[in-house]
Amino acid sequence: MNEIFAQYCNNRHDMARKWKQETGKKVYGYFCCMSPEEILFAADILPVRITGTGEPLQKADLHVPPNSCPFARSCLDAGMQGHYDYLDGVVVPNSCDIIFSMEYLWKTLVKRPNPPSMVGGIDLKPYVHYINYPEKINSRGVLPFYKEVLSIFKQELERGNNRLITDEDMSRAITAYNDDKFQLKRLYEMRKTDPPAVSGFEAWQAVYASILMPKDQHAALLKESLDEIEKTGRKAEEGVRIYLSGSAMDRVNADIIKVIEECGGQVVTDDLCVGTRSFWYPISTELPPLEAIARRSLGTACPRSTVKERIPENRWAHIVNTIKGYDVEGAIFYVLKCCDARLGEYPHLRDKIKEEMGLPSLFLEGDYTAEGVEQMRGRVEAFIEMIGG
Amino acid sequence: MSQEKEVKTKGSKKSLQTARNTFKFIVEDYLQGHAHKQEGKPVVWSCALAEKELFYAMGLHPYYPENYAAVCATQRKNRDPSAEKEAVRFAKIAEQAGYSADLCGYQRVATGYIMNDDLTDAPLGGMPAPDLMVTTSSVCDVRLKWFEDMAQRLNVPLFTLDRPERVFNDIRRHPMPHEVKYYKSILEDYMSFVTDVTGIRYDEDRLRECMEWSYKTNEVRLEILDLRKAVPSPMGCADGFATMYPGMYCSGTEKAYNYYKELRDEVKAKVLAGEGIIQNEKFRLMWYGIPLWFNMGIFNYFEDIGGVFAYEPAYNPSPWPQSTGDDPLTELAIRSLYTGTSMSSGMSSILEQCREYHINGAVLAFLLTCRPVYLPALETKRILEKELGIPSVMIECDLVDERSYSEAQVKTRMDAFAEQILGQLEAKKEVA
Amino acid sequence: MPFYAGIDVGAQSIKVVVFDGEKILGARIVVTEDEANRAAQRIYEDLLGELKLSGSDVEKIYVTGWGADDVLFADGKSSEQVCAAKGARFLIPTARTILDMGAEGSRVMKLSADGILEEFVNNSKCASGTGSFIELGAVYLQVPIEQMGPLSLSADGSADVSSTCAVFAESVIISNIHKGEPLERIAAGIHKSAATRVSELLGRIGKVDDVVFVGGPAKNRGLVRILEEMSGVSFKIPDNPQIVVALGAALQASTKQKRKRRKGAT
Repeated sequence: MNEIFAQYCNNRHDMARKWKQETGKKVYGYFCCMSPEEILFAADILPVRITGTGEPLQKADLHVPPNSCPFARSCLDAGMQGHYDYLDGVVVPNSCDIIFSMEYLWKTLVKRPNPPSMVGGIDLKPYVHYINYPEKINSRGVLPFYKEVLSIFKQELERGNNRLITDEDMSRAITAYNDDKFQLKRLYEMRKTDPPAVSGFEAWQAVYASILMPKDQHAALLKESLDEIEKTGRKAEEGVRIYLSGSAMDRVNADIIKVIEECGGQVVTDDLCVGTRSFWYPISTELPPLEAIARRSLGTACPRSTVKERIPENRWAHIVNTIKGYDVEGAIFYVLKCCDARLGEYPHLRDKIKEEMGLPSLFLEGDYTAEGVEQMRGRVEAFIEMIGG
Repeated sequence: MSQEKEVKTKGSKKSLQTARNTFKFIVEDYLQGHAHKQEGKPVVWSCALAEKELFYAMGLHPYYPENYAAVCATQRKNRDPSAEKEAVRFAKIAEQAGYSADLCGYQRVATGYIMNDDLTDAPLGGMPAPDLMVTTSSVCDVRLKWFEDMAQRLNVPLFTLDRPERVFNDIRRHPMPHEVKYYKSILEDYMSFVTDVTGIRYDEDRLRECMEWSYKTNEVRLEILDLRKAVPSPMGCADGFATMYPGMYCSGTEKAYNYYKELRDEVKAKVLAGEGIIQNEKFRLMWYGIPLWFNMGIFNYFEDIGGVFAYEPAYNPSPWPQSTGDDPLTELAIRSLYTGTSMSSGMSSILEQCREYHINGAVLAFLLTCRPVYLPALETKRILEKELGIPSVMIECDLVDERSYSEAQVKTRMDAFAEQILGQLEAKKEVA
Repeated sequence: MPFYAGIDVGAQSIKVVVFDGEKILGARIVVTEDEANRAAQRIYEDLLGELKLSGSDVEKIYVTGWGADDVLFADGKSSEQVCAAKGARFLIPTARTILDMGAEGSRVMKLSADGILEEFVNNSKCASGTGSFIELGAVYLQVPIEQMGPLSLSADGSADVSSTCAVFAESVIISNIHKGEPLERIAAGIHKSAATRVSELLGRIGKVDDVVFVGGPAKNRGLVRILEEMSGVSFKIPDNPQIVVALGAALQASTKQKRKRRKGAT
């Protein structure tokens, strides 16, 4: 859809290094879509999401067991190999058990660019920042708590970079993020038609690029592309309309979207953290900036979180929001090994999607390798043929 | 019909009388709960690390599906030796319904158990149906999702105690005000939740009373831990794991306190008499992780060659902050936030414990389906070797599902490990 | 009258069926290690010759199976799951659940009351619930594969050959032989082990009667019996279970058009 998006998707490290060299600014890495990247942006830092390589591990296998999350292991391995040597800081939220452990693993095993400055047992310029993200995201006391967590994080950034982050900085960041969310939402709207205006893989590329490059630049490029598509009225290939639900979808896993397309399907919407969950809900401009950012982060429908409702329903509201209007014909669950939250909710979601929407589901267990994705082709083919007639 | 290979697993030989009495304690606790339910009083299903005083203070009798899964790992239907273990029977039911075999063994067993329709068709007559469920965010994500899933299946209201997952070093151990405030708000929400569901009101005095019992219990348990540092080891892992139930699951009751008082007296007498688990103690091992509940006999494996399992980090109490005289909910919040579950805190404490308990080697239970246990396993192994020169061996298995257990493989590894440690001790002697 | 052909390129053998829109005119099953496209072409042409037909009599050829992509002369392709379902339903119109056991993979399909494929499950990558697992056992026991079923039926019990993994099961078979276990008991154990995996698949999909068993292993009486015992079903087995998937492909050739949109969820 856009050459620059493809460059970021395929050469993310070179692109980030180039950006850093050209601007002289800092780059921070973060895990998971609930991370408060807006605050980094407000501090004039480029936030980039940390992803893996899909290659056989070279270093991390001595430290993280083989049956644990292949995505997280690969991320750590990339860090240990120096792929992320341009990062000035790393943000680890308390998302799942595995990412939580990155607080220790990244800090202990990945070489940091500058030495710690310890005072009284506390590192004044931490390389790894831990965000104590709550697990019950809507309880009565959660907002004041989480605002304080973010305020501490903001102070760490200010101290570490000798730069105050003002409310104006924060509002500027919120505007840039909302602009990008608006364009991404527009992109997803354009997939409601049959055939969709944009293919599943192109859409994924656009979302993936958005977590690797400056949001303002991304929003402008995406707007340009979407305007163009609207003007020419071009359409993607017709295909069986698929809802894709799954674990972290980076350059390695995203090949599953290509396989689906090659088998006659078309991913039209999703429940992915490199997908709807990273942009679906805008940030409030009415509230004080820190609170608005806290609310956005808490509103991320991560499968690992829970809610205060008496009988929680596995993020059902988000699933309905992202399926509604897309004329979906089938759901594909692509879940990585060890992704316990997703594995645990799958039987329920499969049944509920069947009962309430009449949609069949296909379950695929991913191992985070290109070969693994290829081995799924037969089942994807059968599933799409089953739906398509 | 038994379709799986026979696994030669067995119960452990415990050295302490109190430990041998624990199963009776558990059975009585189960029976009391059934009686409680029959009187029309509410039953809660919960899990380790939820604060047990919260249940007793509100007149709830707690059951623990995770502990029940461990019970199922030791029992066969109708005690028929040709039947598969109940844990395996239940795990299969869950797997058939689409729950991945890679999911936590506790979850699969308990899920299969509730999907089996008849809750009484199970060991000890099963757990009474819950009126409410309470889980905690502490330690693992599985217990959030697993309890959500059970709440949906059984249509029972659920409350999650969301405890901030803190990362701290010694200096920062004391929780920060916003953390205390948040967790206290959660505890208050819990109280209103229970009142809404059961009509029972929060009684501050009653909670304080329960907390006094748990403080006293914790103190005795810490004394026992201290006694266990003695050489020769007066109380090993077989006894340690066997005696965890009252502390983990009945904390806040007088009966739990009495139980540990008795245990402490027994251990103390052994230490004074210089009596160990075995006659001629040559080396001391640490068991890292949760045990293989279907094969507790493994703790006696090295005894004939002078090896004892002297210490296990799991389930043990840690020192609590001084009682502040604040309202009990604030106090409880502060106390709970003292527990560190991050890998950072885990690594530093394990090194300290290996020194204190004079550990020569570690057996790491590599529990294939338990993320918080297997995730730090390789780092633990590396750090023990690097910092203290302590060798370790890993045993791969599920915690309750014995289908993934290979007797031959475990034996080979354990034997090689024993040789390695004895060789090291021999070499040290020569140097000396 | 137009004719249609279906070709099923399996991991071990190629099956070809020629169909006239109502009945099977002829079928061939050939075990081959030859390159798929060439082998399929030869077998197909041989069958046409036998039926005294020429290539131009056949309106459409559909291909399915493990090596389907290698067959270049076909007009279309359909998945094994869909073909097995179509073929079985054609032969046994009351079919609701279809177990298809092949050399390298097993799968179970569930159909709605009016015959629409609704769900399918595959065995995991592991080979222990497949036909080749039993063949491997036959090699170790030095027994012809056709004899494996009858041999197991003559046993008074079964040796322990269970394992979640075919690779480990091999070593268990060998150690049983060394221990001097009677061959029939080992054969029974091998069948039981394979049946355990397959019965899990049937359990996972929540089988509905009638359950039809297709694929080569459906001819193995020993396997059928233990599977029926274990999963509590009574299978319906077509006369020639090996060609059912190829027949399904021929049916697809005779009916398949451009897809019609099903009503999606809104």
